[in-house]
Amino acid sequence: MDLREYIRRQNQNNKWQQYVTSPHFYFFLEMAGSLWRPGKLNRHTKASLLFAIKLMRRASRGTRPVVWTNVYTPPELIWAWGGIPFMPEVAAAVAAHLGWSAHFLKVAEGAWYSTDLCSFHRCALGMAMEKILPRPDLVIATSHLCDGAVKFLEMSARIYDCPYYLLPVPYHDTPQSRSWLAEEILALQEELKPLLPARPKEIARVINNLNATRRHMLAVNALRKNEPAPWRGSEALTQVVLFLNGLGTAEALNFYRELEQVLSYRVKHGLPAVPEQERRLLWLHFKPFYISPLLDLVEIRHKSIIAFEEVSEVFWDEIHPDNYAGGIAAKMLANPLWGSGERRVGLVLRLAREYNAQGVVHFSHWGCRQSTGVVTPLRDALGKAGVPFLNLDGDCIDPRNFMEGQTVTRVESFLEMLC
Amino acid sequence: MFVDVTCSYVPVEIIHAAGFTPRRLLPPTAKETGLLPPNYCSYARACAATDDGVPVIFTTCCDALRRCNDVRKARGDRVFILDLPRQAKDTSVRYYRGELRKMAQWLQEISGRPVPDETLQNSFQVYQQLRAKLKQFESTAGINEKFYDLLFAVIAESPEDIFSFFKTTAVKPAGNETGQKRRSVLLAGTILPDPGILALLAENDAAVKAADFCLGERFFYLEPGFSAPDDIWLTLAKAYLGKPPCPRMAGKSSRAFYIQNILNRLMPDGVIFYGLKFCDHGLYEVPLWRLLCSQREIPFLHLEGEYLNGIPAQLRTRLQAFLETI
Repeated sequence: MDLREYIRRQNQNNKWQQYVTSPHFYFFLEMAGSLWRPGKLNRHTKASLLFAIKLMRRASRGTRPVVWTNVYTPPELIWAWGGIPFMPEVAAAVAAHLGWSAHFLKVAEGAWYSTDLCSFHRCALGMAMEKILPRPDLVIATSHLCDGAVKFLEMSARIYDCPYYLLPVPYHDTPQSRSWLAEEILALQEELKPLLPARPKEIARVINNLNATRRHMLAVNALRKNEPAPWRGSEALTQVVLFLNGLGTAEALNFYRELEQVLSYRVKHGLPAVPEQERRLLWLHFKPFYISPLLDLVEIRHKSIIAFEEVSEVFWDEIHPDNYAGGIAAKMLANPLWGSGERRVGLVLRLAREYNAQGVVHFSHWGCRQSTGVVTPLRDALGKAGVPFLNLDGDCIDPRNFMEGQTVTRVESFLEMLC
Repeated sequence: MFVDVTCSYVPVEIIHAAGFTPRRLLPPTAKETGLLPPNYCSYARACAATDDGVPVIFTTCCDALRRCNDVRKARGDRVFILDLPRQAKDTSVRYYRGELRKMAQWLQEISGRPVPDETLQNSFQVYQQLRAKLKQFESTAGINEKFYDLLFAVIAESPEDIFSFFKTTAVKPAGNETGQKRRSVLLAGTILPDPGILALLAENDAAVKAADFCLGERFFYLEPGFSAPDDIWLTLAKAYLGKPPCPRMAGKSSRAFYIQNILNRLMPDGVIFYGLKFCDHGLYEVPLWRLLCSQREIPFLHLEGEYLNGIPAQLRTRLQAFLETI
């Protein structure tokens, strides 16, 4: 029986709730996963899978404080403080992949959360209401990148009746704002000491892992400039989960090390990710995480490889363990998706050039105001640079919002134009 | 010369002290220009479509207005974005003070005129007097369409002109034409989508006890609970961050405490949350209002509208049905 079919049946019996909240379930999954012997070109997938299972096991066991936070909050901050960062938005993406998101979205909508809100947040709220996620000991939101994250985490803290902290991130990236944010990080560390006793040794270990991971990520991104492309963008957009939640861990380091080796091998032996690659695309924002034919249609049927995606960009510098707060503050403020839209436009132009993209696709996730609002400046700037641009409306989490016929027609028309 | 603002957290005193007339940006109804996506709040879309050459101060209050700033900046408009903290703690106040100085610097670049502390102190006094007048007007005349006409004038004219209006206009106490006991409602939201709702409430014998909008209570209830005479910038930063919070504020300055207080204090017969469609801050607040109202057995109605788009018949019917139940 297909795994998804099995999960669907369990879903109907509501037995899955028992499983997904049990550390034993993840323990057995981890055991089973460790027995898997992947081929030479799939070792990184095993590393990623084991990381996700291990994260869930540790978070379900509750031996270390579980800290709910939003994506793009540097997870290394929580790892370094001795907590387990858990990002409900990432959990929403996983739920969508497993075909569960529609259920949780309905739960949230039943509690008066409007369908006009971002479905990542609505789905996560539905999961929080059903109490199937690891219980948070505290919630830390950062005020970048979007308004929804701040609000939905506040609501989650209310649901679980746990403390809520907000780490304010200045809008402008200046030396003053970096030092101000660094002070805020240290003040938060001090305030959370009773629950998260950050130890210098642990901080140094996590930051060293982060720096080593960063070097492999840079190497991976450099390898992806090769033509034909050695890695599919659709897979990279799935693995971004690890990038968001796992940085600073040995598992993330292992994943990127393995990935670098796999891609080097592919490049060296002329093994492209997809045999026929007629066009190269740059993908902006995320992808539909539920099962959808969209990216296969783009990459395989229409031979248009997603050479790179903006969310995989390494935008930060190495961090010195002795000044980890300053380094993490600089990392947060350097995020091109935060602050003025000009920064994102600059990044996209650079990536389109560096990855030799013949076209740029912006997946405009329903309800994501921070991302879709930059579409006009992006379209104008790319138009001036002579790079075709497609703004594709859709939804990353809610399969009910996926209009297959309409989407496919728009994508096909765009790709035909690139010929 | 005018300088437009898009948020009630922008200290208008600084604009006034720089020699400009601060004006709340209230452009006509949003036109479909394609500058911002259609699933954006209609106020932000209207602000993006406006092109009258007046300098604008945006804040980082929401994703929609941040992107509106980007779009207008890309178009070459004179815009400034003020980084607005979400909390009123001491470090945020000090940070906001620094941002206010940057805003004054930007104004100086346009006007060529600095903002000295004494001038700013005077402007602060002028606006505090104006706020006191408004409060007085509100408590006597009630919250109705006339009050909002006045409020719209206040945010579009120089304070000196408004003072002359107050001198020449006699304030009449709120009347009760039908003589029936009027139902009291609390009206809340982010920005008031359309003031027509006030006339509709009056037609249906409902008295508005409070209007919790950024062009209402949250605009003129500015109580400087702290004063540093030698540092007016800090006083302003503290006063503005400490005013009744808007739905974007978080943490210890969050709305939950404020909503509980306002409900306990007023105990209205009903609560109407009248929000803008696609306004995330407003939409996230609806479940909270519902919860707090149900705990107090206060009927709650959520209405959505578009910015300055009138009161559609459907909304009118829903409102009338709601008022019949309370």
